[in-house]
Amino acid sequence: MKFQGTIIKNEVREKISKLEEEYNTTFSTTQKLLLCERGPITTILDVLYGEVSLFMLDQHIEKSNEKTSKILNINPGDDIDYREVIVHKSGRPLVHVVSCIPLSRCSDEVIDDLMQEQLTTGKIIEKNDMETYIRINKISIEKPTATMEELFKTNQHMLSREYVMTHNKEVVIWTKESCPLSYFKV
Amino acid sequence: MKFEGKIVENKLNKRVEGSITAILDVLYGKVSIFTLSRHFEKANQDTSELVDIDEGEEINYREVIIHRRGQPLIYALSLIVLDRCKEEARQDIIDGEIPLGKLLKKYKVESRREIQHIYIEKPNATLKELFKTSEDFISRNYVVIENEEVTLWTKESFPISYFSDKM
Repeated sequence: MKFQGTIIKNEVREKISKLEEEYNTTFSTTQKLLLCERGPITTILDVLYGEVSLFMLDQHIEKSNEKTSKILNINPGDDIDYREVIVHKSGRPLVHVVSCIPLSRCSDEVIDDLMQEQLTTGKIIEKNDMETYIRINKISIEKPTATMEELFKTNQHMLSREYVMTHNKEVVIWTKESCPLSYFKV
Repeated sequence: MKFEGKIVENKLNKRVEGSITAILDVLYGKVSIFTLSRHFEKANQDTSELVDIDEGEEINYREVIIHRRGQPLIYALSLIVLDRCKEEARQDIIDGEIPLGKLLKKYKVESRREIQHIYIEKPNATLKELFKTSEDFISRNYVVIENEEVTLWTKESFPISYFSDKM
């Protein structure tokens, strides 16, 4: 049988190819998988590398500023939960994750879960049977911040992606995941 | 800094995101979808259980091959409860030209997917004919849930030698 049919358009592939061209690099299968996974990265890291752990670097409630209110589509000054974690395997950092969650859009159960440091945001969404839509906003290569250099003990460029998840047609979480460009090459 | 923290529990994590088509597309470049069969049929005892409807209710049956330049990559069989899908998406579902994962994105459908089974099985005659092999296949079944109801059940299969690190 001869298979025909239309070629499928895929914006994520296009973004990844553009980045490869721009930086004259080729991403590995694992890097591509991590970039195009439409959801929290922890699950796929766990499947690929075995048991991974979550280390909370910072978690606090803060007032939304101009930038975060724009990303989350909330009013400046609204409360957000700021979460910064490292997903690591036996102490070796794998991915740095920052999330901002507008508290006004969370149920009491979700807020309770957020306060439990061992639960990943993906786990919280799953635990609460939340139906979501995920939009990858940005895939980029950028210079590391001082925090990244300290955490990963490197000054190499970081591969990052940013996405939002909506629930009841409102943004419930913005996430940025980053890791050194040389990670997951195999 | 020494990283500590509890190991992330994943045994019960049945949730998956994203369609396999999008992943294949990113990994292997432009892929195409070829519809083997699509029609409406009345749900029998087995299929009604898979999508949680009554026997005799109508389901949209869709059987496709995702291929790259004619080389089959994945076989996917889907059962769709059209009445539970967003009204504006229904015509695209019936037309069958767009992968279901793509439709979820196109119509910004808020949903959750749950993997039900991942297993290795002997190929049936159709799979043998399509992939020209009699080797074992790796398959997974999952459902997409929207508004607390199953809208879609999917089974995806490919030969066990496919997508290995050596491929």
